[in-house]
Amino acid sequence: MTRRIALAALAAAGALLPSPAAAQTVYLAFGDSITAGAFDDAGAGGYPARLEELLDARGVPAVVENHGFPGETTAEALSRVDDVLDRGGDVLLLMEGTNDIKDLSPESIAFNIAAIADRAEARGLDVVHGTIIPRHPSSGFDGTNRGTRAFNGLVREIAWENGRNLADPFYVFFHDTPDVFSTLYADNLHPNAEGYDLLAELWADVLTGRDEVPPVIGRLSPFDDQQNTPANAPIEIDLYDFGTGIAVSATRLLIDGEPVEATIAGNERRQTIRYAPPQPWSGVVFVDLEARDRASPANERSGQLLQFVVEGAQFLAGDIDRDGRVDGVDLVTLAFSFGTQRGMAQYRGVADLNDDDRVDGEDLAILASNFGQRSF
Amino acid sequence: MPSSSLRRLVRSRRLLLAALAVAAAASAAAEQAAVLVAERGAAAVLPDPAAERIVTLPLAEGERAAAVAGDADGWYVAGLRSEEIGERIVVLAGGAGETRRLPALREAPSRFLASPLPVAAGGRLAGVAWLEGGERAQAVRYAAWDGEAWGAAETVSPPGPGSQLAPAAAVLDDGTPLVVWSAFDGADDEILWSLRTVEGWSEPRRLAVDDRVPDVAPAVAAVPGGALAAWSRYDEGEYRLWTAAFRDGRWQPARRAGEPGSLFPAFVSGGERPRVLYRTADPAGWAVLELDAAGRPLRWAGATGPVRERPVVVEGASDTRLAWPGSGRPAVPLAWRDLP
Repeated sequence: MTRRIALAALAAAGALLPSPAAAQTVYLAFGDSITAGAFDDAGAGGYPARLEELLDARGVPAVVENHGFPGETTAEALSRVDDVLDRGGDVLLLMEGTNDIKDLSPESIAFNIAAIADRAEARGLDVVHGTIIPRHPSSGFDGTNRGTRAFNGLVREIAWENGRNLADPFYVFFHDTPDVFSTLYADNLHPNAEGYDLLAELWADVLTGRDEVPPVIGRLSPFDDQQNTPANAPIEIDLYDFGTGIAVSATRLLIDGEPVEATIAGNERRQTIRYAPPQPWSGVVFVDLEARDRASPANERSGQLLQFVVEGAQFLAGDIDRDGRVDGVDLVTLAFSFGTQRGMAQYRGVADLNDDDRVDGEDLAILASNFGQRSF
Repeated sequence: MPSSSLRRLVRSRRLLLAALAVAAAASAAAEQAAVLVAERGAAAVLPDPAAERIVTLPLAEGERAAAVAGDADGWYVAGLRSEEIGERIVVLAGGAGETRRLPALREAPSRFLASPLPVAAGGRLAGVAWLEGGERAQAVRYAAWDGEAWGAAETVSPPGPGSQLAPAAAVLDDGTPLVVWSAFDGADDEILWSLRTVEGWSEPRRLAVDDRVPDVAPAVAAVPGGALAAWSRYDEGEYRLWTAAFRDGRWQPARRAGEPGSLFPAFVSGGERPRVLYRTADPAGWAVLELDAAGRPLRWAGATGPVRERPVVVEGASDTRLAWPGSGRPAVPLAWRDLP
């Protein structure tokens, strides 16, 4: 713990960097095609080359070597990393896992990341972790980013437990960038030039002690969108800050929009938030989290953190998306299938509210009778 | 050009691209009279006496292929269709000169569906397996196909303490479907398996001993009298291929079968013995391992190549090659090396 706090303080002060008069620091940017710079339509070499320029512009002499390998998984990286480390360097910038999501659990990917980082530290390098950027919704797997979010939570834990710094592209891309997939992506996995610009800036901020990211989430239970959640399941959240630290008294948990008295333990680096329901949960539960850091101005996070469906929940007829409300989203969904029958491409059973193998006026009437009402 | 015509053109172009890929592959694989099904990474060479045919996948907007299975008598592709409130499994069937779309599964679209997998043998589709559920709590599910309609969805494995991923399946000699997959057990990923018996799916069990290191990305194939599985295990600092044989209703002890950095195996047809195609990490490429019925490695061949594009193994009259149909990349002849 002491080492962690000391390292965090040093990192925040930019102490991983040499003074301008010192020798260049050699950063090894290690990862997959997103580190390699695939689909960089500016042809600028992805984030490593940009990072080197940014560090130079900030008065930091550095060399950033690009060790990205397109298509690689963390499982394969274990067979490559020793060769990279053997060539020497000062700091490993480790951001990988996108290609693993389909085949490995978030825990196994994190296991591999931890093993790679340990090997670097064993050779005397410092390690800075990076969360992986979100997957485009049209990705063939994990388009919802649930697995990616879970993996990134584990990366934050690894970084915290080992006293390492962390760049958090996932948070900034996913939670802090409107229209991210239409503005910063070249395809369904890779950033475009603007996306690589932002990636480089995020790494540069971490390496030069700038804090632009609010407290972020590690472990989370129940997970977002969990179905059949036990009615007495406690809510447990780990909150981290890798910059100036959490403003501990500002953290608030809200259930269905109302603040609740949660147990909040920890310190400015890590808080554990726990809330056991005084009454059994029912229906769909919406959990919001408000938190901010000690930066000036503060970086704040707010809004919905997760929602979960309690076991035994019964939904009103017409609540097609099972969010507890019969609303316009349900109407649009029904409208998409209106006039179809089973076997047709646009027919969908959930819109066939009376289960007569066609989506028609009778289904619309059922939805209309509950329109505007809540299931719970 | 009217917008509707433009949309039709875009759709036609999509089909055309698939057709071109398949045409190129058919040419490359002509020696073994093969039909290739290729779409967005799902590819396989399927022996077909009819030969010389081009197969396209009539996928609609929002649909994507995920996996293919089949043999000389018929092939099947499972994929997903994105809808506003979730995804739906689609299954295409091909063979005997036609491609058709099977009826939709009875399940409603789900907010989380993944890895649909046709389970087929002898040209007959037994069913389709898939993952379903929320983040880190997927169930393994299955629906049987009776030749005309889908049965109700069955749960092979309910959500456990963590992710369940990478299902693979085979149909045993007696027609019994066997599914294997990786599952996080609270400490690490293990390979689990289940058989569909008359009483339903057997309780999921570990395929090998609990070793406290990740075991991931399994493949399985039926062999006379049983089945073979191959997967990758974290083993002395890297991932290596391991195999195990299923005989008399139980898995035999697993054995190390691959070199360091051997990953993502898939059983492929073509030889007289079971063959596993897998990725090699160092050097980056692909390798083929020929096994005996007990999963012992007999001979090996490998080549460097693009790791993002799974090749097909083409068995020629005088050699074996790795080919990347439709890519313009030349096929690579393999030099077999007997293993001690």
